[in-house]
Amino acid sequence: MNKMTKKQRVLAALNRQPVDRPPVANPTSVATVEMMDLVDAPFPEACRSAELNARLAGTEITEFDFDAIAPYFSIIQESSAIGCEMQWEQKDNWPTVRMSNPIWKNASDVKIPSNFLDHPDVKVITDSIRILRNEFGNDVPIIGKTMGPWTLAYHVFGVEAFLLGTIDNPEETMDSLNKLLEITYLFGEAQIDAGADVLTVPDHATGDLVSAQYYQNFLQDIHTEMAEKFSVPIILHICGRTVDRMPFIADTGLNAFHFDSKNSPQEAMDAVNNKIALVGNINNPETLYSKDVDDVKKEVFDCLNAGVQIIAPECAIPLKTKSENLIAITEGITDWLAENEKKN
Amino acid sequence: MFEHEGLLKEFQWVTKESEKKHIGESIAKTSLAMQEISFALIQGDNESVDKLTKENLENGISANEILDNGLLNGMSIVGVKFRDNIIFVPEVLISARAMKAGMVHLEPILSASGIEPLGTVLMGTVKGDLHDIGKNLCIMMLRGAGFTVHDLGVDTSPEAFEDAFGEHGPDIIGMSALLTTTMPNMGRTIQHFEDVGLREEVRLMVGGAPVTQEFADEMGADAYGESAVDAVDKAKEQVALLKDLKS
Amino acid sequence: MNVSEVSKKFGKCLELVSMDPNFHNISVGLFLKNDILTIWSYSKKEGVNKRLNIIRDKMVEFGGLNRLNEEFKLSIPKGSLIPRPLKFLFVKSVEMDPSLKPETGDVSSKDNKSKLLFHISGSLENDKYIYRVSATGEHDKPNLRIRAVVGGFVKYGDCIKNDIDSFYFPDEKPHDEYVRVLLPYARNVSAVENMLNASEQAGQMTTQSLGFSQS
Repeated sequence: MNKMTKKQRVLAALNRQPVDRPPVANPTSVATVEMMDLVDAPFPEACRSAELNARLAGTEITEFDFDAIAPYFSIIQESSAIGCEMQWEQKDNWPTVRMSNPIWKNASDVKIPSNFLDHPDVKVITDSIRILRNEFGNDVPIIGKTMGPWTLAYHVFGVEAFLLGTIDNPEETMDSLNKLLEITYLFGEAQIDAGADVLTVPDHATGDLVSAQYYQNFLQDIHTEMAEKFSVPIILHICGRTVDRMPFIADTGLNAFHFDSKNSPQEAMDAVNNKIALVGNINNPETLYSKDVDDVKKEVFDCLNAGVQIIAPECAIPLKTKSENLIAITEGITDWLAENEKKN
Repeated sequence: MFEHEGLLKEFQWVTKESEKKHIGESIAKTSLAMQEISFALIQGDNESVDKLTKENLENGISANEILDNGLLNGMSIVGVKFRDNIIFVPEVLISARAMKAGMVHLEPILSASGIEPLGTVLMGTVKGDLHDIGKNLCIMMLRGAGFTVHDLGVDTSPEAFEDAFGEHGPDIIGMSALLTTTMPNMGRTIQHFEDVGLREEVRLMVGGAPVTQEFADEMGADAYGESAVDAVDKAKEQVALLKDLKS
Repeated sequence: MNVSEVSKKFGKCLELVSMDPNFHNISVGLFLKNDILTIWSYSKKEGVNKRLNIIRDKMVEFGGLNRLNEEFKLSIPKGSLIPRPLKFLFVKSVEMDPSLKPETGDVSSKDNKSKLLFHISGSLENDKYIYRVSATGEHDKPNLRIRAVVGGFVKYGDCIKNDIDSFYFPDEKPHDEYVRVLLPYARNVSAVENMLNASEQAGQMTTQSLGFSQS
């Protein structure tokens, strides 16, 4: 097979088509403190300035030779724009929403500001995508990100209040989700207009909190609609234990599912039954953060042996991840290809 | 015997033999009134728990009995269902809300002090376990009974138990776990105290929804508290035993 | 240098400090290749080379290691790599006040949980260099605290427990400098555990850190 461009490779993998080699791309984030220093773009400024954001995001290609760029590092940009109380933290920690002080109580409170797309914390992403498109041309795919309504609900209502509401008043919960979905579409479309080739949608109906039936009842139809409405491939991301809901996710028509290390690659492949591509799932807190190059490569092998289409860390990588462990992901793919060639 | 049909149905979710025995025996000796409270808690019916708790107190049922035979029996089944992924966090939250609705009436009665100090206890949930409902109830009961209790919180490593032991010199260390996966850390903590030569200096007690007497014996614990009230009784026994051993 | 070049040249990254409080919060790594240690940062800020050499010199001064003529480099005697205390030494060298000088004389430290003063003395016993912990001051059961300190050295120094009040390093040699570096950690394990856990959790995106998990 002829050598593919990074974009061809990633898009083919997302459509479960043959590739020249397995791609490596993190649909969530590859920002580290070392790279922040290399390009002088530290957090939290790199989350709030398009120029710094693009500089830091570009290292995914220039330093690690991954196959895509993902400039939206965290999960809080739109929540900041709609008025959630923010904790921006410092260089080596993630900005978060103060969910202990939620801004809304009911579906009737949900209001999208008319200037949402002009808010600096939203514009930073769309402007960064434009900068990156200009700098890297058309052969490198840019993966944007827009939060799904479930995750937005956690942020605006608070996790406990929202989950209590799913039992106390499921109709109101659906109403809230449908209203928050407007933000998902607004931000997602804006990123596509700016040049994003793919969108990641984190929507945390995780097995750590809710059952697979919850996913089916509250989110499956919403995600099915997303698969039809967005004009680019969609990667759904849900952290935690999710193998029980992967069959429902696989039926949505979404292109890919980015899965957590709490689910083994093989059981994930079995659960989706070739109806959706898989992205993942190298463990972050133990393997990438604390272990060695050889441990990283072993997980790469496990993913490739199972048939995972895009190799990636399981989620946004720990900010203090050592660079050698990220290089090890790409090297792991090369080693695996060499080993498999020998066998054939 | 199980007089409440709904509660009997809920009990079917308890499938491990040792748990069936321990939770089953605990419920079987309670009255219908207490079983009603247990069931309402499992259903997350906070209004009923509130009403039934008040009614039973007015009828002269003790706060201890309502706590152990009503609320905690219900919570033990909630704990099993959560651990076995029958229910998830939303369902646990409504049960916890129901528990609080009952505790609002019981806490002032249970916390009343004026008793002679009986001894010092360190309480912690073992490493990896972030659940503290059971631990907090035990602490409340122990303080109510006259113990000085230091709360080490959740996710307590063997070294942290040892360190706190050095700081407070307690008579008893109480370890709690809600997850079967973290229960072995009770054994590790006990082993750690052996390794550092402190085993003879303190009495080690274990408790929590998945814990049984057999498990406690296997781990080498000195005592097992199968309920918050039982924990208090056992703690009193262990303090007396430690005094004898050291004299 | 890019990341591949750094990896090839300096070897494995043993430890990474994410924010140097004494120099623009840059990240600084400790690398090891063939018994040669290198202090390195990807930062290109003016003065960074000078700062890296200062950290290197602190490690030499406080750790009794060997300064090399090359920039940012030092070495450990062959066979004397003890990873855990080396990492604590590195972190301390980055975070300490640059004007700090090593203590001399007896190795001692106040207990922060009691009125005790710990003393540690080493001597050769049957070809093994043994460190003994003792304590002076008021306490009902000082031996409990002494045992805890020995446990702390086992945990943070990769040391081996010799007796209820003594320990030795895995190479059975004297490492007075490591003992000084480790004593503040060894005497307060629970606080250090909390600190290390907090440091490990920072910068992680997990269901727990996001608040999307039951706790």
